[in-house]
Amino acid sequence: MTKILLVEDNEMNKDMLSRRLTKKGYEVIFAMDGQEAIDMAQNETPDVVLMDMGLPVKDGLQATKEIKENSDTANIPIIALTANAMAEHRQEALDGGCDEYETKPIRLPSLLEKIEQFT
Amino acid sequence: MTELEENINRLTCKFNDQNLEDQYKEMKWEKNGNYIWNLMLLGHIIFLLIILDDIKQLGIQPIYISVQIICSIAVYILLFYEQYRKNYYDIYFTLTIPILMINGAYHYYMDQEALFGPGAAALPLLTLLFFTIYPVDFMNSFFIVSTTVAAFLVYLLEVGVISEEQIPYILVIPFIYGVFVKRSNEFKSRIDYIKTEELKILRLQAQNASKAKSEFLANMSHELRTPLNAIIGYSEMLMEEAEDDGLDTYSEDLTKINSSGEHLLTLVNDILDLSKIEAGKMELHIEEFEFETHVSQIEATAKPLISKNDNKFVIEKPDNIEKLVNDQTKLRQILFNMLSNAAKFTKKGTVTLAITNYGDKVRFAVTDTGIGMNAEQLGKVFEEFTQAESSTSKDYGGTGLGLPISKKMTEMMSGVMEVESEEGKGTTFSITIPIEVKEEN
Repeated sequence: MTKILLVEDNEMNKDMLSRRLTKKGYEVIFAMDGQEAIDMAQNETPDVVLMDMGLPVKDGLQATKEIKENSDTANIPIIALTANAMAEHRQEALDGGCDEYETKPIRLPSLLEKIEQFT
Repeated sequence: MTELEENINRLTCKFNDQNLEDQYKEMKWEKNGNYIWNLMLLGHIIFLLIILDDIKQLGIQPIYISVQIICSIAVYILLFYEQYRKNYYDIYFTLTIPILMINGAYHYYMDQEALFGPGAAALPLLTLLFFTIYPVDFMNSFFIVSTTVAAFLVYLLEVGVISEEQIPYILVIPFIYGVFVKRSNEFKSRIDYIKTEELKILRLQAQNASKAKSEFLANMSHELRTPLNAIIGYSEMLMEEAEDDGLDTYSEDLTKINSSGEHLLTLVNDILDLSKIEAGKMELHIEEFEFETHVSQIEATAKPLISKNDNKFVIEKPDNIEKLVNDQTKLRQILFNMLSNAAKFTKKGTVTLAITNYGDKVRFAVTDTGIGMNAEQLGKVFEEFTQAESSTSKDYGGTGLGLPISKKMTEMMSGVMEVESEEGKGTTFSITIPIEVKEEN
C-alpha cells in the first residue's frame, strides 16, 4: 500500500484530504509542522510527501530543503501544496526542491495523477 | 492670508512649527554650506586686515581689539558644533553687528574726524552675507543696486550735494535694500518648502494607502481561500459518497454548493489578479517553452468545457514553430479565458483557435459560432464586472473579470487584444503579442 505523509496544519484540510485519500486506498500519516515532517520522513519512510507551504515552526520550503539534504530521505518525492495560485510561488516551491506542486483547493483527480506518477 | 502663509511668522520669517524650522535650516545648510563657509573665511580675513590697519593708524586699544577677536572666534567655535551650525544666520549677525558698532565707536572716540573708517568696508560684506542663502538673487540685486548707487554718488559728488565724508552713510542703502529683498525671498522660499513638504507627505500617504490596499487584498484572498478549500473539498467528497450510495437528491444540492464554491474561488483569484495588476505588482516571467506542448496542454484543459455544449473544437496552427519565448503562464491564462468564454456562449457550433506567425509577432484568435454581441455590448466588453446583459451571468456564469484581466495582461506583454462580433453569428477574440519565435529548420 502506498504510504503518504501529509504535512498540513489546518485541521479541516487535513481531515478532508486524508479521508479522501484513505478512501482511494492510500495509507496516510500526518505531520503538523515542518520539524515533525522532517522526523517522520526519516522514521516512517513514506512513498510520497504532500507538503503544505505555510507551516508553523519550520515552513514547508525549509522542511523540503532539509529532507532533500538528508541522504536517507532525499529520494522521497515531495508534492508542494500551495495556497497561492501565483506563478512565482509555484516557481519558489520547485526551486526549493519540490518535485511537483498542486494548487489549493486540491483537485483530487489531478493530485492522484501526480501521486501515481511517483509510485 | 493663505493657509501656507499662516505657517510662517511674518515678523521673524520663521516657521511656527519648530520641527519644520529645523528641517528647513538643515536643508538650507546642506544646499549652501560650502558657500557660507568660504564667504565667512573671506569676511574674517578682511576683518583681520581692518584690525591690523586700525592698530597701525590709531594705536592699540585692548578692549576694542579683544572684543572683535573674541566675537570672531566665537562665530567659528559655534559653527563647528552641529546643533548651532544650522543657526549660522543668527550667530553671524548677532556677533558681527557688535563688531561693527564697536569699530565705529572706537574710530569716533579716537579721532572725531573719522566716521566709520575702515569698518564701513564691512557693510557691503554684510549685505553679501544676507544673500548667502540666495546666491543668484544676490548677484542680480547686489550688482544692480551697487552700480546704480555708485553712479548716483558720483553724480551727487559732481554737483556738490554731498561731500566725500558722507559716502559711507549712503553705502548703507544697498544694505537696507538687501534686507528687504532677502526677507521677501526668504518668505517665498519658505512657502515653497512647505509646499514640497506637503507634497512629500501626500505622496507618502498615497503610497502607504496603495500598499495597505494590496496587502489587504492579498491577505484577504488568502484568508478567503482557506475556508473555500474546506467547502469545495468536503462538498466534492460528499458528492462522491452520495453518488456511491445512490442519494440523487443530495447529489444535486451538493453540486450547487460545490459549483458556488468554485465560482467564489474564481472571483477571489480574479480580484487578486486585478489588484496585483493595478498595484503594478504583477511581473512577467519570460521563459522559453515548447510550442506544441503548450498548445496541447491548452487543448486538453479547454476540450471538456467546449464539448460540454456539443461544440466542435478546431485548432489551426503553423507547423514550423518550435519554441516561443514569453510569459507562458499568462499566455495560457489568456487563451484559456478566451476559449472558455467562447465555449460558454456557443451551443452545437464550432470554436476555433487560430494561431498565425508573423515572425516577430504571433496572433492567437478564438472564433466561435455562438450568440454574438451587438455594438452596445461590444463597447462594454472590457469593462470590469460587466457582462453583455445582467441576465447573462445567471445563464452563463462567470465573474465579468476574465476579459478585463486578459486585456490588461496582454497589454503587460506589450500586445493588443481585439474583438469582433456579429449578433447571432459569433464572436472573435484575438490577441497579437510580440513574441520571440524559434522556427524549426
